Amino acid sequence: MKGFDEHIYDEEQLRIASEDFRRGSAEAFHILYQHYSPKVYRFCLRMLGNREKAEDAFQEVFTKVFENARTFRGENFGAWLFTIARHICLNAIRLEKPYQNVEENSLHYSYVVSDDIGMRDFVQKAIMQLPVSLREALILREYEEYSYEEIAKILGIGLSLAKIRVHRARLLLKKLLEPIAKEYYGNR
Amino acid sequence: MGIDKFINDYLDGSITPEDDKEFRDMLERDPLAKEEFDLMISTHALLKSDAESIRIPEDFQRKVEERILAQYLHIANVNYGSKTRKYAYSALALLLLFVFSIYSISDGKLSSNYSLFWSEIAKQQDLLVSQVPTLDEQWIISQGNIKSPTSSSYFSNNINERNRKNSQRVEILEQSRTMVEAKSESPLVNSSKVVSQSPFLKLNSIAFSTNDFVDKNNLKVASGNIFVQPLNNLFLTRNFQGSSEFDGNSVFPVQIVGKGTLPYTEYPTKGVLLSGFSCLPFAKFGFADVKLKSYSAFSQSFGYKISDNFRLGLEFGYFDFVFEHPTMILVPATIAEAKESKIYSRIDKDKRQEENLLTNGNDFSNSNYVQVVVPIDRKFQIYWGSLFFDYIYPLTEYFSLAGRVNVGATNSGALGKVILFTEFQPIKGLAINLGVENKSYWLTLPSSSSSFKSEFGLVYGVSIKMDFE
Repeated sequence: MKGFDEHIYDEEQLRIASEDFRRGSAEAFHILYQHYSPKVYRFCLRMLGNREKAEDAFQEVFTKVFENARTFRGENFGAWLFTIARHICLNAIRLEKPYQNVEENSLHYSYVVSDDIGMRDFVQKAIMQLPVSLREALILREYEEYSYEEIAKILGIGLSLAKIRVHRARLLLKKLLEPIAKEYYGNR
Repeated sequence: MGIDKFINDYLDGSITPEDDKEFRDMLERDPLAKEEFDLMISTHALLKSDAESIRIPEDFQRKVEERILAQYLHIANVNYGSKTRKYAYSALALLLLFVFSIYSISDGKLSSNYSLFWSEIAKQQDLLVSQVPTLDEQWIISQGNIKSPTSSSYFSNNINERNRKNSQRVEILEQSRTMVEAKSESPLVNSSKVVSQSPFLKLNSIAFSTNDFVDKNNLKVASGNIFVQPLNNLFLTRNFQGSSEFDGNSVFPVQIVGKGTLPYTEYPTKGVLLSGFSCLPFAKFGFADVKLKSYSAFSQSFGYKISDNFRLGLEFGYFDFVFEHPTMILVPATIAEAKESKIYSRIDKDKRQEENLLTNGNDFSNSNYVQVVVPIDRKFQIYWGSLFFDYIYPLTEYFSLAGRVNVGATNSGALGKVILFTEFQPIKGLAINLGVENKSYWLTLPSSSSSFKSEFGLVYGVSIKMDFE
């Protein structure tokens, strides 16, 4: 698994850290936190579409992580962590007003993208228009670069369904982001 | 295969060489497919760019880690400390519970002078039976068929009259024993407390004591707080004053060692309570026909915490009653002698029985004995077991309110109990309980019929709480 972050530990270091974390090592927690916290923050932000909510969810995720450290079986810390993050984000989504999920033929956007900030807002809004089931699958695949097997495990679904959800999310998002994509990259 | 599937596999890097060739051919000959492909690549690039642009605020990231790590380390330390303390407290509690159990159940050693008394009576009765001639043997003695250098002269003088009296008394006492055995009681034993204070104490008697016994003349005797049992009155009537008339053959190995009263109302159920409750009743219903002298209750419970607010478990315990039990005794005297020697006033100190009720017995009337009913303190113990359900409502870190409902049975019938109590937990895992309870049950006392009893009481206790994670 690759990422976009500064604190990159190799697989062996993370495996050892996750083992030590189960035994209560604060140092192991630090390593895991440094490695995974940017990913979790990004996941929460794109799932919830709001920085304050993302920060609340982020704190809750890592609080749950050490509270439930003894339930971690030591196989795949990342998948276990994102399972917790996903549940917390879903709970947060359930508590807020139901989002207006997009219909495939009713896409709309209302402002012109003129800079990177505008681009990010546009992308965020587009992602937020995806149904939650497609949104979470897309974020795990495109942002966190999890394999389909890992996505299936985190979401608790089958492998083929994980692939279908990512595929559908890509198609939907392609239509949502078409204006800005053309503006940014033009015709290749 | 459609263009969307080719694009999807291409993005995932999972397109096969054959599909890749077909895909590329499709892009070259179909401008719309090429446009779709370019759009998807651009979208993909947008998402990657967006992902790279998202940075967790460093200050936020650091503060969260510090807070969580601090909390994590704190909890780790606290858990370590509290577990150590918890195990230490539990070990201490189990030790105390063990000692307390011994204290409670060991009748002869530590707890119950009362039980010691009765067990000693049983032992001494066995000893007495083995050493004192049986009624048949005594009958033979009274008929003069004994081999004694001096007995022949004695029996030759007054044999007829004495034998007549003896036969009467033996008959009476045989009836008495039969009746007593049928009731599983011993009025003579019960009466001895009274008789020991009577003028008849001068008769040969046997003594029992809660103090240490010493062997003396083949019997264990003691001084101090003793109990006198005039069993030898069964065989030596007041008219025969000791060995001068029986010349050794009639000297029974029985001794008078003093007189006194027994601490009937001393009970062992006071003490430290662990993992359970004790109850001090402040209102009782259904005991109108019973005069209770004392009451004590103790229970232990083992509960399992099924959630943060609920517990299920087993509770079992007992309660002791000491109550007055009217008991008929026979006093070896005529009514006139009893009145004359003031036996009546000595026996019936509370004046519950009118003087004119002194009789020679209803079941086996004999003018040589007076039948007296005296109140004897008796102990009655009820054991019970139940299932309980607790609801706990935490108020603060240290205080909780709790309610408990019990359903179970005693050895006399059904039992139900409701308790409202507080849990004060000054130390994690160790709680002090205080509350009120209502306990209702069916009870059959020896002196009354089975009836429904209910009581309200103050409960207090100690709980050890252990969490297993």
